[in-house]
Amino acid sequence: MLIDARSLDSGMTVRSHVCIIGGGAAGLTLARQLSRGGRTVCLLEGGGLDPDRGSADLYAGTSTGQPCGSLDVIRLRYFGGTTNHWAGYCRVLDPNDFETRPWVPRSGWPFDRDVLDAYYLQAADICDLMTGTFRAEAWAELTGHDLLPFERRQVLHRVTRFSLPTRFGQKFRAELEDSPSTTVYLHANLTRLEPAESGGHVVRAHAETLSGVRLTVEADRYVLACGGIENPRQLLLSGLGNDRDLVGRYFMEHTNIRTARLLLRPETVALTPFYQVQMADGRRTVQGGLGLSPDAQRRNQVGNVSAWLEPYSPGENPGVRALRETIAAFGAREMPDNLQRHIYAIMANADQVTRAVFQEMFKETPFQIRTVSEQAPNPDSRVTLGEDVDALGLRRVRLHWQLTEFDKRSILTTVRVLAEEMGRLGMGRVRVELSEDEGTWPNPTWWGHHHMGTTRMHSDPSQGVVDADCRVHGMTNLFVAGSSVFPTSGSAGPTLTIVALALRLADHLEREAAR
Amino acid sequence: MSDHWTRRHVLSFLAGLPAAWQARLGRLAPADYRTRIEADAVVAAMGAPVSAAHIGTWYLEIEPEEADVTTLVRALVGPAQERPRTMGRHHLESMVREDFARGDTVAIGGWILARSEARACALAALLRKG
Repeated sequence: MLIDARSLDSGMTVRSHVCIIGGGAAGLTLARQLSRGGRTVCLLEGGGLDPDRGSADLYAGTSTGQPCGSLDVIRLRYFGGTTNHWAGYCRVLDPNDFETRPWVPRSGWPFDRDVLDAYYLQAADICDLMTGTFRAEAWAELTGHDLLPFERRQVLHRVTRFSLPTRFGQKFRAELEDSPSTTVYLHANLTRLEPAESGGHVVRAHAETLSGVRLTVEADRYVLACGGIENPRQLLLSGLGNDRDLVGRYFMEHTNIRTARLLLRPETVALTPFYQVQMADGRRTVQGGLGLSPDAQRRNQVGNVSAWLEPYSPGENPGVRALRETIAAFGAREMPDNLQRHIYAIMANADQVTRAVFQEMFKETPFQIRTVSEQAPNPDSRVTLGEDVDALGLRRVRLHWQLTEFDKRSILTTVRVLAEEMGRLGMGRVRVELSEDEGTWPNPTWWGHHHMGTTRMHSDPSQGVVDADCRVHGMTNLFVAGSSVFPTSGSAGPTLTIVALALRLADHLEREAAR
Repeated sequence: MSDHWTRRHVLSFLAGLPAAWQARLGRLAPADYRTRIEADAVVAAMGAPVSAAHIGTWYLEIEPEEADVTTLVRALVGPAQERPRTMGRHHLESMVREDFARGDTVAIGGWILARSEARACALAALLRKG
């Protein structure tokens, strides 16, 4: 059932087995699973069925450090959440993303990847992927393309799959409207999670509409599923789970940067179709990519970085044209016409001229490498509360996204190893275009809108906000769903893992309730 | 890698153009005939001699102590008494791949090149100057 909370009498109290706050990928997945198990679910969604300015403004805040986009634009506060502008990229995290890697600070999940394997298959179905496989070799065979012949010791292939993209709100609206056990309250903004006087568990969730209607939910269990920035904000606002000053720290994003240019030999270009987006029946299916093997990551002491090849068409450049005319004139032992103008054109387009010289030298075709990279958990990259308040009187969020030398080195080293492998195998040459200076990042550094790590998962309360079951340490009935629980980010888009973790959490809550 | 770097090198290329033109009109005699023959073979193995010379000029700015034909030929094909044959394209490609495998690379304008190919380009630059 879907109810517009603005139509309710103010002061109403509802009861359910589980109260979920947030109607995005995690919240809707949880609600569906739990209601199938016969549990009554109350889902509080801050927005309505469509976007509106007033609701979006509750997401506004300040951002310092690396530019990250406007906080009220990069997140969507209405039914379906941020899946409403999701691009549909789906990847599973790699097995080594879950491992404790001594060279990656604070790495290690409290369980291995195989714990999520079965959930990933279900998540693939929910996200409308046609099959659950993410093996590049299988996809190469399926699409009839060859893989670039890298040595597996150094470079491994990876694939990204494409969801429709699935808009969770649209896809599951009818199911939830018809559900006898789930009630979705729209325009119901969480204002406070009320703990018991003795602490240790939540007794009520308080919500309010922008029109002033107040709603209270009493449940056995509460799940925050509001996204990687709002989850820590809500915990901070309610003063919960932060005994160790960890809530909001370790904010991570995926940098998405055009890092290098490639000149590929014709015989290598012939092997690149697998690395372009494949289509079938009018929809995107798969795209091949590259990354260092776990062993190469260990040897080079770097994080997990994915590299995606893209054709690059520089077009005709005036500087390159001037250079060609100048060389032709000198070759004919003549002084070129308009030499001064040619020199100015070459100087003004020096970078393109340099590239053209290398392209002529190697007789190769230009591509570019776009990297999507893991960011090491960093306690100073964090979400805190600002001084301004929103329309509900709640302190707005303040985000400080901070990258480190490790993050830069991981990208540069990955590209260098790829360059050396491509050179060794005679594929072509690579030009690194990312500055080696630790503090210099492209402006803007593109991001993935992937907000992770701010309520990180760890078995030890001194190192994480939630435990391996996504329960807030020190609280018996408060859980967190979504990418805020990721201890490390890998280089895969988070949506599939968010859904897989939500399915796992649903199983856990079912087991707990059955006891 | 930066605009400053590339502009500087484009300017040095422009400054070198008249010299290259001059060299075509009247070449200087090499100090050692056999070394010169082998240097020519290396440059021929590279292909695209004009572009190679530009890249070589940039390499020699990074490694100015290598700005000598004999030094570069020795580095590429070994001492005179140990040279098995004149450098061919396949031989150079093999050296380049070995360099990449060892990680013996050099960054020129951001391009990651094998040390051997950068040296071959440097030879092209020196020969064009005569």
